[in-house]
Amino acid sequence: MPKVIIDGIETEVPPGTTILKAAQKLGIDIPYFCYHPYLKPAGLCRMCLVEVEKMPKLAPACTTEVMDGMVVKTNTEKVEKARKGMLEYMLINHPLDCPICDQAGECDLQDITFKYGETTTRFIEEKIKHPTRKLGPLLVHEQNRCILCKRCVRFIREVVGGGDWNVYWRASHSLIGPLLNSVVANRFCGDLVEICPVGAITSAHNRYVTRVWKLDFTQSVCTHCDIGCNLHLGARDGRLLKVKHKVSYPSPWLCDRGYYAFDFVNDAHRITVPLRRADNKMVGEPWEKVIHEVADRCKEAGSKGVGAIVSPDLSCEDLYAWRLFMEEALGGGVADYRVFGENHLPQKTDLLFLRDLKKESAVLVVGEDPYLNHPVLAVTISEAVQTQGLSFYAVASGMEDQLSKQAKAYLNCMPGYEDVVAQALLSAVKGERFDSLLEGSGVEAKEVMELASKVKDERPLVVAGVYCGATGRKALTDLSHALDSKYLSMERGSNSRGAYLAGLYNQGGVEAILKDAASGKLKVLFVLGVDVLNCYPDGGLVREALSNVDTLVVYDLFFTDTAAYSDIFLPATTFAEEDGVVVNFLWDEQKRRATLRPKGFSKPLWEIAAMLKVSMKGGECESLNELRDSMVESGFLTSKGSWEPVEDSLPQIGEEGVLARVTASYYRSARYATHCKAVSSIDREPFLAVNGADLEVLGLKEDGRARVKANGASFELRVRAMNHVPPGSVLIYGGFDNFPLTSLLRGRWETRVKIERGEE
Amino acid sequence: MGEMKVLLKNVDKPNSHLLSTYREGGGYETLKAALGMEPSQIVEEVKKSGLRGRGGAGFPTGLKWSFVPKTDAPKYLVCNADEGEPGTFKDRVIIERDPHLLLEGIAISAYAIGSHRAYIYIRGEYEFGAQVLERAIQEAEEAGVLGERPFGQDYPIFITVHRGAGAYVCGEETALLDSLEGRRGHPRIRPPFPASKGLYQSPTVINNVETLSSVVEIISRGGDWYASLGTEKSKGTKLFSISGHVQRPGVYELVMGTPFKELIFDIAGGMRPGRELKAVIPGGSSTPMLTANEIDILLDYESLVQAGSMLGSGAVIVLDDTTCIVKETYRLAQFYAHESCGQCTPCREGTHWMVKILERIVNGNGREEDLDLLLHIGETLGGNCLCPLGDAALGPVISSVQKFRDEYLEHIKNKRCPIGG
Amino acid sequence: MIREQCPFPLSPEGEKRIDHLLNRYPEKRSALLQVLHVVQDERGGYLDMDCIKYIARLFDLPPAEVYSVASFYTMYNLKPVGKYLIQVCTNIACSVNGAEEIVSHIENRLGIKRGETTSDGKFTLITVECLGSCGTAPAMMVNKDYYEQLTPEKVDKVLEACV
Repeated sequence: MPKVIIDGIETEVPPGTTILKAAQKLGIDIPYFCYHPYLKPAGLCRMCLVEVEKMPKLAPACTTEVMDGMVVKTNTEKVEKARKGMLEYMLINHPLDCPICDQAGECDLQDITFKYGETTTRFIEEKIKHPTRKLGPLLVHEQNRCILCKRCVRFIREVVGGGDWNVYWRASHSLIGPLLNSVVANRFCGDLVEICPVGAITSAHNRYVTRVWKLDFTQSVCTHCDIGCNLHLGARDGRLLKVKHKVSYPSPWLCDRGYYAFDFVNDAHRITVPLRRADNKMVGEPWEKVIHEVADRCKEAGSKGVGAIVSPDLSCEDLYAWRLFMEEALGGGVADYRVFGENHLPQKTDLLFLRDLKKESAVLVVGEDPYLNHPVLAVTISEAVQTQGLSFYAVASGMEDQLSKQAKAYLNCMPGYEDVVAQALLSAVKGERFDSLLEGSGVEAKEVMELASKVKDERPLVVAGVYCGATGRKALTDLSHALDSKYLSMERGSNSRGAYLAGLYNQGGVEAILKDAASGKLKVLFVLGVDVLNCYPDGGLVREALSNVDTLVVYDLFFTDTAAYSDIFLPATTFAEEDGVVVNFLWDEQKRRATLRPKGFSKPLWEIAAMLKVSMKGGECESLNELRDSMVESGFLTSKGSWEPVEDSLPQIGEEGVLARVTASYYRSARYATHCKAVSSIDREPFLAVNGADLEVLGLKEDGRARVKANGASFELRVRAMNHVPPGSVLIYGGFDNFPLTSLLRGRWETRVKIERGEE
Repeated sequence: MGEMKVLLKNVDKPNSHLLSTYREGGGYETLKAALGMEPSQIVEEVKKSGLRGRGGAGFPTGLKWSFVPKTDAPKYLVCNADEGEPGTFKDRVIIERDPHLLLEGIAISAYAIGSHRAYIYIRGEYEFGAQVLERAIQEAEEAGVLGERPFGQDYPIFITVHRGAGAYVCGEETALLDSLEGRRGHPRIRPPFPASKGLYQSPTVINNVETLSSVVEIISRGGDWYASLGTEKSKGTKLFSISGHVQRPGVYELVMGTPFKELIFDIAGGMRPGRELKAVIPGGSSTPMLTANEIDILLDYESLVQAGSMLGSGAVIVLDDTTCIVKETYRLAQFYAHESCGQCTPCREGTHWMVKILERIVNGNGREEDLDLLLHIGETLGGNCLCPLGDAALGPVISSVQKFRDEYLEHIKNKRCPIGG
Repeated sequence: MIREQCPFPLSPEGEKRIDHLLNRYPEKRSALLQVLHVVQDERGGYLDMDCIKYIARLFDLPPAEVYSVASFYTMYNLKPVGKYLIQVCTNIACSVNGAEEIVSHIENRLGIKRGETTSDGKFTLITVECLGSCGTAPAMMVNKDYYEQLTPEKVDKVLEACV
């Protein structure tokens, strides 16, 4: 390994190491702007110039690789002069508006000038001025502050791929940003804010809200999907004001749900006192009274008469405590976390780190659009495609262009046919016949054969997406075994694996619980942390269950559509208000620290479970530490999923009408999106996405309205032509409160609908 | 010493651009012979000739060729015809009036480095030149001199003309490659050098029009013959574009080592009546100015370096006593600020800053300390940029402040130009 | 697709040329500058956003990428220009030979300042960097043609010939 001496200290580094990295290893500070640990070095800002013996000029430390015997000096007069010079240049056209700049306090230009710069400038001319650009609800762009390090442009090019963000013109008149003043359409605006070393790209959401040094930061885990990105939550005066992504686990990048969809925590509409229905009105009550009442009703109902639908976003402590309550106090009862109607259980995975995906030469995603469901997974794939030539294959329904464009082969199947195509692919790989399987799938046998021959050659990492049911997952597991390749399964909910480990599932899933509630078999139904009416794919059944059950206890942040049916409402805490563990898609336990105190009288579920237990059985309330001890003793967190996903089958899709899938647009798929100011302003209404080629057949007009009917429900929706929609089917993008599109459904996310032209 | 027409021997013939004219003078015979030689022999001859890059940097051509790895991977030859350095118009003469000389030089050089594909990157404004070259290529391919089987040999040589679109920085060879790949002309970080990873990440040699054209006569008459011309380290003949305040501006071919004064006062006809020489920019606008007292030197790479400037592209801009040095320096500073690609901080901001300072001085708002400030910019910008453009911008500014300080001070003190410019 | 997707009437030569260019290089993208030239010529001297989007489709690039490239090079006009684009070199060799007088003369004659277009849309006057005519300074280009060793009288003749 090459040896290098930096400022008199000798070190050995692997070949190809840059001077900058070698210096960092020795703890020697070399200032930089354009360098970023997760982007390719570019050598643009010239801030990291150092002296290298035998080189006539100063060398950029970020791009110069160490050679054996190299002698580097970072602290000479020449280097110091160059640094002062670069900073003076940098500040020529940079406004000194630090007092009103959101980046102040975390600005590299401030910090580096503070450490290495001069106190004055000799530039006395007028600075070049550009207008401030508001780029939609997420970003504000101040070209004036831009030092043209191009981190943002490189991020879009190297990581996100494609995109509408670039550098225009040249010289000191160079401009950066999207073409025209368009709203930035990628899902990594937050990363643009984070990687900008100055205040050129800032969040529109927190503009002028707080100084960053006034915030208390606590470590947490994102609550919007099972990737479980680690976050720093910044709070002040009892309000959550900023999310930062300083921890590069599991990915160096964070999607916009994580970055922007957090202010539901502060929303004034949160219910923070327990409520009890009296004379058809919800009335605030003290906890003791409500707990007693719930305990009494549970006692009356008996173990067979109590059911619980629990959110897969609750922490392990909450879920485990709930299981203890049901086991120890109730002595039974049914509970399930699969609130999206899943018919499978989480499976093991072969990946240890997300970054290991980049070691693969190929990836096959089946049954989801990662760009919609798991953007961080999408960006990992996309980065590997851009920089390492990864082969990406996909079988999905209605995948957006962003990722599908990067695929070597993409089979756009009809909604709900993902499992079938997965089975066909397995058969093709094994050399078995599969033609009959593909009927109605929108995929040709030839395409499957071609894909099969590619996956046989390249043995891709197989990723089972959220739309894969049990049969699809079984087929994909077998496929990865047959190919001797790796396997990764994705789930809905940020802690569904934790809920699975807590044993909160039963035969028949949530459907069975709902049916028992509807039929009167259950007397008490708990709906914990989930607006089941808007999230379980059978609105009719949910409504029947919620109406028919004697006692409905809802635990949530807001008075949701589900809560409207409740007899007792228990105010919930948010992910920012409770210590807890969640298990991510790699089966890693991630710790959340409470950033805020519980708002008002709200309580974490574990505490409620403990209170209920005491109320029914007596004894002392367990502390969180005691709960954790017993959780560890139970071996809860040491177990992992199995390879066997098998559960029951999904209901069949009907025959009459147009095949439709109900989904949510990206921003609307954030938890409590309605209560997040920035993200809720992006998609303002549900819409019907139709392939452009089908508009005429369906008698619809772009931007017109359509009436969609199924299963006795009917909705009028805006029509949008989107060519990623599989021809012959439609996608209904929802995710809005008071708009229960789930009423169109009967147990799965796909249905047949009648479409008529709506009123203009 | 003095004028000698090696490269320019055909340009004054009628219809010099036609293949027939070119072949009548023995054109393409050298290529025919070269295709029978070992490529390494050609490289050796070029090394022996002492030919150095005529684009401005003066790097030994044979040595540059020898860096190309001897693998089977595709290799590219790129002819740099992005003649954009103010004062330079020599390549245009060859392109428009003896295109086949260039094509023959390219073909021989491509064969020498093992390339089958060559690109001529020509500045966008030379659209006429591009058309001349395209027609010449077509003629040569139809005649079986170039193309699939040149002279019946199994060595395809395809030459493509690629137009730039108005960016001086694309004359820098790695920016040129980016531009040739359909991108913004941003100079690349080196290493890797183009010889190992150039166009499409493949080994690539980039040579100037004049350099490649010189190869024909070197191979025809031998490296030793070429090396017998010129001085100890500057061999052969060189094209000089002379412009500005001389009576007979134009392109002249001189043996290396010809006295500078002979070019200005004899060959180019000297100053206009009643005018005196004030300053000379000897090698294109980026080379430091020389005063009238500093030109009693020879025209070769070493002599100009010794005089504190550079031979550059051989573009001599002559300025007489009617010239306001401050105004012309300001004009050149504007040029470099306009042409900076904007990638790296010192070039982007430093060139802009110099313009602002010079603008103030020209407008009578200068301060005495501005002169030291300009020199200071020279120190923090010089050598610290990603590509040579930043340094190029300094050439006229620093040299004029150093050599014409009094003229600057007059502008500052009297708040107006002493010349009346 | 070259013709079908084109937002303006494309001449048969233009179509042929684009088709040729798109297939000329080992990597298609290399043809971008050349196609920008062709489209600009076809479009009467400037590239509007429709042209940028069209070219983006031809190369399967984001329009922002095409605009980024086009705006880097001065020969692509991203704003409308007159029928005759007068480009006067004002760099050093022309400047010391009276380029400024030539510019002023044209300004006075056409009643516009540099950077402007005459109200009838006939002429746009701009100053440009070195055109490589230093030996025959001062020089200008009108659209694609060079005019050298200019005098005000010569300029008048050139402009009169522009109809």
